[in-house]
This record gives sequence, structure tokens and C-alpha cells, in this order.
Amino acid sequence: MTFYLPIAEMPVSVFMVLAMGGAVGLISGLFGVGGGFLMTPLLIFSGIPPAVAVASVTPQIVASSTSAALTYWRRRQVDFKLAAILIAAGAAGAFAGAELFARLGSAGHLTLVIALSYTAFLATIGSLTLNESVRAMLRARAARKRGEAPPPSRRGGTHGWIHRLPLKVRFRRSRLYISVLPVVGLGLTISFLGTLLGIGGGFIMVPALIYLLKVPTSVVVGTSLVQIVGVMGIATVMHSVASESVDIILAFILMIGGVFGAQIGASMGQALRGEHLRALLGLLVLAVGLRFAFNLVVTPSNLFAITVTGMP
Amino acid sequence: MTPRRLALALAAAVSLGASPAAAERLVSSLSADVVRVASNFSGARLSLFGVIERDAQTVARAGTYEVIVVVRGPPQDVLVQRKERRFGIWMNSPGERFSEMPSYYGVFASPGAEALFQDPTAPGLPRSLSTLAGGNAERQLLARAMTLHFAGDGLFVERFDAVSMLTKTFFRTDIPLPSVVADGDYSVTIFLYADGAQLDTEELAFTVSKVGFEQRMFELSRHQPLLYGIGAVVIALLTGYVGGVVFRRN
Repeated sequence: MTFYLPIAEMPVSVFMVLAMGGAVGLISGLFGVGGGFLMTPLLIFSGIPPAVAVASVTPQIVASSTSAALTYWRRRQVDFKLAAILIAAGAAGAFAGAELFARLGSAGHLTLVIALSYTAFLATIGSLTLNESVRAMLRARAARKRGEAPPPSRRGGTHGWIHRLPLKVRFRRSRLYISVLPVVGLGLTISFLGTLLGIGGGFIMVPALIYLLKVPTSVVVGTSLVQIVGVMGIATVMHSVASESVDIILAFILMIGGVFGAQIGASMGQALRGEHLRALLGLLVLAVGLRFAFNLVVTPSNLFAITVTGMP
Repeated sequence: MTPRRLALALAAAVSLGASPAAAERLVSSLSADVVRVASNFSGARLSLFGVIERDAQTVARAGTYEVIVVVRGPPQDVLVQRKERRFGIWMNSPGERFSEMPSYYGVFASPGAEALFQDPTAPGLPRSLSTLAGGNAERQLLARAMTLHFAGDGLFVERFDAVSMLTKTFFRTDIPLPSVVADGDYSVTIFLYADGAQLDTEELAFTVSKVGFEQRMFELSRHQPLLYGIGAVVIALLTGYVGGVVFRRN
């Protein structure tokens, strides 16, 4: 059964899109990540124009993050003041991201920038995650050999300079009294990248909040999810206005697949250990990054790029 | 002679050539005026039928008639770039822009009409795909790449045997529209030739339009992008909320 996408202006197989949404939903439920960094490449590799892929994954991320965010809200594990500042700064980042996205699209360089950024980004994050989880596994094995309890995972260094910055603000829920500047910088950077690349950015936001700002782990995930819902909601509107490439039909089919996949993934995830999950995730991220790198280096089958830049 | 007067003289010469005193006239019709693009759209095929009418004074010709049908979709701007390896990776050159290119271009001709395309100086002759864009060698190369790209999608079609003469004066052809066809107004021009001379031309038109939900979504995204974006966010929030409620785990 094919369905005609009104904005992409092409027919797609509903089952293929549902399956992709489901598969990414499963992975996101399994690893507790948003999955945008997998969804967008999957759509691009399956022939959806990169502009439509990035812009349509954005509302899909809103949907998949909403249900999880509500769960954390009910458990009172959200620092709303921190989330609000991150979102406010994120609005500016999303605006800049959507604007650059539209400009790159009409200059015919969007595909290259997306491929380059994904390669750099995913290769870095993938190897860091893999490295950290393999070390954790080795430490746990060594500890078991010595007959001790496995040591708690390492906390990052004390980034003193961040805590010496001016404009301090109190975040009651996080029990923090820190400068607003790193919070604004973080919100701005992650939403800029997220809007440009079609990713929620939770997998950068969560470690950044823990290691840079020392936000307690109990509120980190909930706060990050609320930030993703806010920023990706703003990014959806920005993409709709700047490049008119949000395909709501595509996004909706992805949402449906994603909701079901996430449930299966979440129950599967409980059977696996934390560091094994992170190692798998690192491998997956690395693989997607390498796939982009491969496309950049290998001689393309078509040596010309054809872009329709507009209807006069 | 001023350019304006020259243009007028040329126009007069062309119109004289197009409708000679010995009149043969084209009468043709399309199987549909509107192609509707709904959610299950997977391409369409229009049929064009025509007859060549000869008035009472004109004597019958010994040779055959040749018919060429040219279909043009709504214009679009296209950027064609060469992929080049720089610093070890493939990136796009600045490229060339082609404005007002037809988003669909179909040339359908009767088998004998192919010879007419060999003479590029013939007046009022429809252009074949290979000569759609002019310019220097690089521009022509990029234009060729564009032609191949759109031909691969079925958007540029050139068939020199597609118009079948059912009788000496009755012809038909199919106009295949692929699923990725753009919506808008399409023009169909039919050219009638005999003995290498143009006898008549006729203009027809049809419209490709999205209907129902697809059309409303498309219109909204173009004319009310802010509203469309906010709507998309509301749908996403609702879907996420409903999904969370349905699969609530304790």
C-alpha cells in the first residue's frame, strides 16, 4: 500500500515507513534515546529528500519525547526552571539552524553539510560511548574476579571555571546555584545542531548536564526530555516557515510506528545490563557515522547533483 | 528595420507558414482536463485523440501526415552541480542554474517525424530534449545531466514512435505522467506536418492538482506556513500524549 506524501511530492510504502518508525522506536525504547540521529539517516538513505527528512523527523521527535516527558513530570523529576532557560536559549538556536538549513538547501550544499556533520558527530559520540562502556565492563569484570561489588561509575572532573562564571541563578529542583551562561550556551548549541540535523540531542544534553553543570541524575532525563519537546516544537514551526519542508503525513506515520516500537524496546531493555546497552548503542552510532563517511569518500554512481530550487 | 518591426515581420512570416491557404486543420482532444492526485496516486496516463480535417477545396495529399505532440509542465528553477573530489571527499561544485525549466517535458511524435528534428532551422519546430537548454559546453553538459536525471524519473519523455496514425487522418497518443509529477497547469501543443512543412498547430491544456486532504495540507504549508507548523506540533503533542496514556506502564 503506497501513500502519497503531499510535501515530499512522492509516494512511499506505508509499511516501509511504519517499519522504520517501529525499528527506530524499538531502539529508542531499548536505549532510552530519542532516535532522531537514526531516523533522519534512515529516511535519507531510503530516498526521501534530505530537507524533508530532517524537517519531518522534528515533529516525530516531539511526539516520541512527549509521552516519556509526561512520565517524568508525574514523578516530579523535571527541573522546569532549567528546562525553561534551555528552551528560551534553544529558540534562538532553532531559528538560526532553520535559517541556515533553508539557505544551504537553495545553494545545493545541504546534503554535504548533513553528511559531514553526521559523520563527525556520530563518529565522535559513538567512539566515546563505546570507549566508556567497554572500560566500565572491564572494571566490573576485574571487580568480580576480586570478589568485590562493582564500583560505581566514575563522575567527571570538577569543571571549576564553569562555577566561577557570573550571573548566578538558583535552580531549586536541581539544588544548584550556577551561572546562567553555560546553560544558555548549552541550550543554544544543542538546539542549533538539532534543528540543522533533525536530532533531539538528548544523547549530548544528558551527559553535558551531568558532567558540566552537575545536575543530579534524578532530574536530568526528565529535564532533557522537556527541553527536547520544547525545542523540537519550536524547530518544527521554524522549518515550516523557513523551508516549507515539514511533511506531516510522513511525520504522523513515523509517530505511529515509533510509539509501538518504543514499547517493545522498553521491555526488551530491562533484560540487558547498562554498560552492555551503552556499548551496543555506541556501536550503532558509530556504524551510522561510518555509513555517512563511506558515502562521502566512495565515488558516487551519479556524478551530478540536481536540485529543484523553486517554482517561480 | 527596428527590432520591434523585425519581430512583427517574423511573427507574420511564421503565422503565414502555420496556416497556409490550402487549409488542413487539427481537431484534437484529451481524455481528461484534470488529473487528480490523491493519497493513492501512482501516476496517470492521459490519451490524446485527433483528426486532421481537410476543407472541400483542398486536394488530398499523396504523402503521409506527421504529428508531434509536446507537453510542458509548470516551470521550475533547477540547480545542477558537478560532484568533485576535494580534500578526499565528494562535494558539489557551485554549478549552473536553469530557470523556468519545464518540470515535465514530453515529446511524442509519429514514426516519420523524427527526420523533422534533424533540421534545427525549421521554423516553429518543437525542441527535442537534447536542445532544451543552450549555453557553453559546460552548461550543455550539465543540462544533459539534468535531462538524464528527469528522464530517469519519467518526467522527461521523448518518444519518436508514440503517435500512432490509426487512419491516414486519425491519430492518438498516450501521455504518461509518473507518480512524482508536479501539480499545476500543463500545456499540450500539437504540430501537424506534411512533406516537411508545418500545416497547423493546436494548443490544449490540462491541470494536475492534488485533491482532498493532500491538497489542503499542501496549500496550508505554502500559504499559512506558521499555522501549518503549529498544527504539526499540536498533532505531535497529542499523538505523544495518547501513546503515553495507551501504553502507560506502572
